[in-house]
Amino acid sequence: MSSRHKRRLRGAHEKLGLFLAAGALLMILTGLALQHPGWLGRGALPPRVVTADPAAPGRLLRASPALLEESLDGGATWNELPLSAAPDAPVAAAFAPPPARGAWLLGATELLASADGGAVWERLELPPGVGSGDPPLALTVTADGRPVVVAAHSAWLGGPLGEGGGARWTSLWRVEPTRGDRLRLAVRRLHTGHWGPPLTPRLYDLAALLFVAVLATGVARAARARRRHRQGPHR
Amino acid sequence: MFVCKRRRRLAAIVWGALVLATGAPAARAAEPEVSPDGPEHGKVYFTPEQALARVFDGADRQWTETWEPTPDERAALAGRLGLQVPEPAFTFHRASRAGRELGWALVLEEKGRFKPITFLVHVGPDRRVEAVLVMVYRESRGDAVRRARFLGQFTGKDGDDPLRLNRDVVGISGATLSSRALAAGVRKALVLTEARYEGAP
Repeated sequence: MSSRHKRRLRGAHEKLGLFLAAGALLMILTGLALQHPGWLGRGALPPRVVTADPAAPGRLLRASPALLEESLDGGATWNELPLSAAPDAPVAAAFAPPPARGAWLLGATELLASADGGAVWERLELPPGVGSGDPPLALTVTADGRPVVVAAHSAWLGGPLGEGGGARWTSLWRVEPTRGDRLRLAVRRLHTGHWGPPLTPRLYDLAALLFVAVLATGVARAARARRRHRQGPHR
Repeated sequence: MFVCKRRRRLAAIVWGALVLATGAPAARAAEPEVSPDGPEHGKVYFTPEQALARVFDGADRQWTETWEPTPDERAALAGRLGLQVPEPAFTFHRASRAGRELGWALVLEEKGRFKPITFLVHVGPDRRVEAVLVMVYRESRGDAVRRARFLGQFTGKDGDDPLRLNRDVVGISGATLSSRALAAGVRKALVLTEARYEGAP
């Protein structure tokens, strides 16, 4: 191969390298932005859950992230309820069949119960394992006013309100996660950085930092080599 | 020689990162599990004395007052907060300097994701938040809520402010539940102070 072809090949190789590096950098930047949603500003937080009060026609409860609202006119107007610790990620809400006034609000990591139709709430313990590795998916209430929580791998029947509420959970079923489920969870934790002791950086951030360091040192080395190559004949 | 040193240093950094990546989860798995979040860390940032000395800096007199709400008062508190108030009593720390009241300080606990966060809320004589200090943080992650960038948002808030995440309080990414717990706790402190010292100068 002639030296001219070698130079062309090296030039094409460098351009390709820069193109790939730019693509990788773009992937890193978009990945970092997605890993830290706060960087992109606040998004819309529309209601995710709505339920009708069977004891009061026209009364609805709806939950948005960190907000619980009530409507007394079938949804035409909404008033904020003073629950400052409303679930950040509401999943489901349900009322007990009348004449009971029980209400439950299920979040991704918590369960709230009310004995007065939703005016005053108390935090209940979620069933064992639900909310940590077994995300809650659905909620219903039995005819005798007991909550039923369905999670990805299990379902639980709670005690009636005032008698332990969600403190006494009975397992309805449990499906053991498969090896694939466990692997997926491990990979997700590794990817999102939920691993290691406190103050451990997110793996994505660490990888991004390493990549940028490698890129910067690589570019610096290439620039120095080029400079040396140019200065070579004069030395 | 110089290149060798640099290579060694780089190798040490890479090895350190690998050990951190592989060893830490293994070490954590070896410890006894006491909650889904793992063993309690309980990082103490301020003892009660340190926190009170910080918010009542220069005070020449300090005293405490305990309040046991009656059932009616408890129901009124629950109605304002939208949450049951299970604590049997509340201790208000008070202080004065040269005869001038410095406000109230309450040490409260709110559950984060798995474990309670202990914090102090200093409410000034004008019923506005003067300072919030995270005293003990027990969760395995999310202790960024103790930083001034987050806690400074509460300064100047009063009982009429919603103190809601995504509205007048911006949460910390990756510590949403701790952020929300602190916002709810600060609101609770304001409501308690207003209820107990209604009409007080």
